Amino acid sequence: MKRGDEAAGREEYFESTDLSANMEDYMETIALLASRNRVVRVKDIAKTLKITMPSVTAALGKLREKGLIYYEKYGFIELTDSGRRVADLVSRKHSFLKRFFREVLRMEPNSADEEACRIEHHLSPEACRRLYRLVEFHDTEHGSEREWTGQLQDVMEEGPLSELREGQSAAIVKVLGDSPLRKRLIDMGFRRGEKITVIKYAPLRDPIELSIKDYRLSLRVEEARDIVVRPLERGRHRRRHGKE
Amino acid sequence: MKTREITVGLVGNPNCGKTTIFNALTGARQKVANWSGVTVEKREGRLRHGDVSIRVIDLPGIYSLTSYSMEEIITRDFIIDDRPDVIVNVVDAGNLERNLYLTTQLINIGARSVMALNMFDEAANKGLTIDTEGLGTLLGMPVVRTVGTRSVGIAELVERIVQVAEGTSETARHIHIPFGDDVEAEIRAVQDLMRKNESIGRRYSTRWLAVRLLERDSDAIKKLRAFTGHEAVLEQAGKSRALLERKFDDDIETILSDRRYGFIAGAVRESVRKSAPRRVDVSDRIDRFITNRYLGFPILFLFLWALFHLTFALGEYPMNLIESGVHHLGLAVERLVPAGPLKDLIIDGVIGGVGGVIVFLPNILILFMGISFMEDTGYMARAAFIMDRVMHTLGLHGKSFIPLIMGFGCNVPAIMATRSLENRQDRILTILINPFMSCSARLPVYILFAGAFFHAHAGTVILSLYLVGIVLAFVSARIYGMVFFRGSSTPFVMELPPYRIPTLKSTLLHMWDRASQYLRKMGGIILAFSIIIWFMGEYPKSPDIAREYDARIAAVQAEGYSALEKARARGASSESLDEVRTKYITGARQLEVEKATLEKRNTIIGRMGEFLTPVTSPLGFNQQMGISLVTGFVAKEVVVSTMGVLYHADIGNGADGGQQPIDQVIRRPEYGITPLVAYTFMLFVLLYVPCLATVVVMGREAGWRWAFVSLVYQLVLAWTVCFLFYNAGKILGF
Repeated sequence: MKRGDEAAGREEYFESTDLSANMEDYMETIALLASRNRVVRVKDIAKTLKITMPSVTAALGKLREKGLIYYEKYGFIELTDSGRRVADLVSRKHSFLKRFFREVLRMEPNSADEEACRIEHHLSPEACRRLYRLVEFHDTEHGSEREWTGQLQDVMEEGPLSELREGQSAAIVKVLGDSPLRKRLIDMGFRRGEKITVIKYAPLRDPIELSIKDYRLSLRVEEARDIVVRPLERGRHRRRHGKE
Repeated sequence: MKTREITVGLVGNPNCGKTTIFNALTGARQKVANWSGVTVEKREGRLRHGDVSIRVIDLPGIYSLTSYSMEEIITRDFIIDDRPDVIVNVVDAGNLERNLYLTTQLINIGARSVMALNMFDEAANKGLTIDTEGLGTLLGMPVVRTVGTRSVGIAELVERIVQVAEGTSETARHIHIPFGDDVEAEIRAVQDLMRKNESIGRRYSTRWLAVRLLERDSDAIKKLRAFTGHEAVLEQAGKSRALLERKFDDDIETILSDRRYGFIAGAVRESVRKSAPRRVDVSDRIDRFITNRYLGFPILFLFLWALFHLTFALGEYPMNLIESGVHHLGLAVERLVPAGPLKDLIIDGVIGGVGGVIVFLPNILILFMGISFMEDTGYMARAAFIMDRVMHTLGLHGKSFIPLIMGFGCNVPAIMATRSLENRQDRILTILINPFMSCSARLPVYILFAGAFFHAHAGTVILSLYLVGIVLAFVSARIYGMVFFRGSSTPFVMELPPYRIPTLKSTLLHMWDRASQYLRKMGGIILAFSIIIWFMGEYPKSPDIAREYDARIAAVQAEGYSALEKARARGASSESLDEVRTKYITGARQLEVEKATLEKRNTIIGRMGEFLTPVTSPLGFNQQMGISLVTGFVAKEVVVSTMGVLYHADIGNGADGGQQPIDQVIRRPEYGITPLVAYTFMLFVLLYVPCLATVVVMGREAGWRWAFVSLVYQLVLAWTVCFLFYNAGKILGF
């Protein structure tokens, strides 16, 4: 959702809106509805944000006081010029943050969106600027197929062995910790790059049966947490939360 | 020609078939001991080859020669200190890469080795062709293809062993595992400093020691400390390690193991060809059922049910035979030996004691047949895999499950079965809580008391005791864990070996092994203790009491007769005659009980029981109960027979006609046993010291210190639980 027609300097310009997280959400929603429908009504806002109409009305009153919207009781809502600027700022923040989670951190689209919603109101203009530059830099480098972006991609896919699904294979990245268990695992062939496959989970979901080199081994889930792996089929990482 | 003797150590990974090679080499000519100071088994066997006598020592299965497990230290010290002539490195041909890791360390330590490339038939089925000549040249040791279970390749293996020992092997040479220039430079730096003290080099391979020091191996550091000039060496090792870790941005273990595995990968690339597997892997198919989410548990319980029944139900027939054999032997001796103390000693003490020892044999034989079957097929690992989640919450290992279940039959073979647990801590914990699994010998006590006092609810009462035992086992596991094994949960790295068909030979050897160990190591002690306790239960005799009471009983009887006569003369009705008869019979019986109790009280055990009255009376136990608890130390079923003697009652073996059944006798109000007391008594029998044989087996398997800990713990626990229960019951008005 990169808006290429806008000047880069403006893209990169972030300022504080002096609004609470809630209010920013209202502004974002109003802008969104305005671009989608001809008119914006209280009912639509309440539906989108899943809150009651009276609370929307109360919030709109506050926004009007700040001179961000035109709003008369039972009428339509419109953004003022400064209101449009604020809404634009908020949605730019959201969209680049979403790109950050999606493209740099390699998260699923849905969760990238959720995460963006979660942090967009809490970042300072300075942090936004720097993060924005990182996203842009990654974008251009990724486009020109630099090695590091590929590496970063791989690193982002890494996770504990305990989160693989049955039948999934992965390459070992490292064994964490400094326990006798780690030494034993290294002795048993758990080395970087070695392929490991989750054969199955025990009937009570713990321990795990694994296949490595030419043998089968079982490990408890809590022990498998200390083994960092990179799944060999991408994007099929078992996710702890979120919908699949 | 003079016989030469050479010593051979068998080294290999767990599950590489090392034991089958050992059995194939030595047959039944084995002896089992423990490594000094630890309870890790040491097996030794012998064979002859021409004029050479070969002593074979089976070392524990290990993955590596570092020093973080007891098994590794044992193997390592054996190689360094005992300097065996040849090490036979047993390697699973189907799992070559991982097995060769240990080989690289054997090469590093400078051991003269022969490789037994075992189970090569399985590897061939997997589609692997291994160039043994090539591999041997790369590793600097002769490589022999073997199949331990079918004794294939054993003759050649022996041949090569002798050649290497005599230095006539063409393949055997000393090679270095190359670690790469950077690491090699640091190894040399450490080695150079070691060379300043020549005695180090005479004792150890400096290259090996240098590598171990780089790896910060605590045992190697300890070994080095014995030499002068160790400070400089250690300092250099520290510097070198830091340098390498910085350079490769990794920790030293990873750096070195990467180099070793790199060497192995090269060797495997050059000597192994892989083609399409000849046979599909059946293990996975079997596992689809055995460890299936829904079928896993039912199959496990089916197996356990079968094992339990085989062991204890089928085992009952030979046990009965043994018991009746012992009984008849006693009768035969009775006819031959004149009456007197010697006769009592032989019949009740010795023959009874021997009977008490061998009566466990059928159980042990059958149980270990089953366990050997489960281990050799690979099912044991699966059972542990399925059960670990449950057992782990209790601080135990998945493999603890089987010994615990077997404890419901008999704790003696169950404790011996804990040998499947590789980890010492898991094993000791499993042994310590095993007595809480209510064994079948405690059942007669429950049946007697629950039947006499709870009638219709007897079944529920007995079940509740089993449950109390299980709950307290888990509570105790926690307590023991907190007190003795704090904070050291053992990892669950367990191999799941492919399913294999067990051989009759290995099963028989396993059974023979356990049975003979039981007889030699435990039988003697159990026998000696039984005789001592028998003696304590019989002596000193109290002829005065016997004489006095016999006279009084005779007097009562005489009085009874004359009273009867008189009544008859008066022409009394048959009811009133009966009344008179009953009165005197009861009187005589009462005297009999008093006599038996007094006699028993006078013996050493009786005095102990009496001495313990202040301890047992707060639990509501009467004197007879106290004494039978003391005698019950020999075996729990003795509690019932002692009560039979003390109450002068029939315990159902039809010994004396005319006696009343014991379950009626103990209900008499004059003995003061209420249902509350009865339940408390059963609780005590459940919880207090397991039988003598169990204590001895505990001492042998875990160490006497642990046997003692368990003894004290159980007595304290039994008393505390019973005290609380009894008093709570009293307050509640039971």
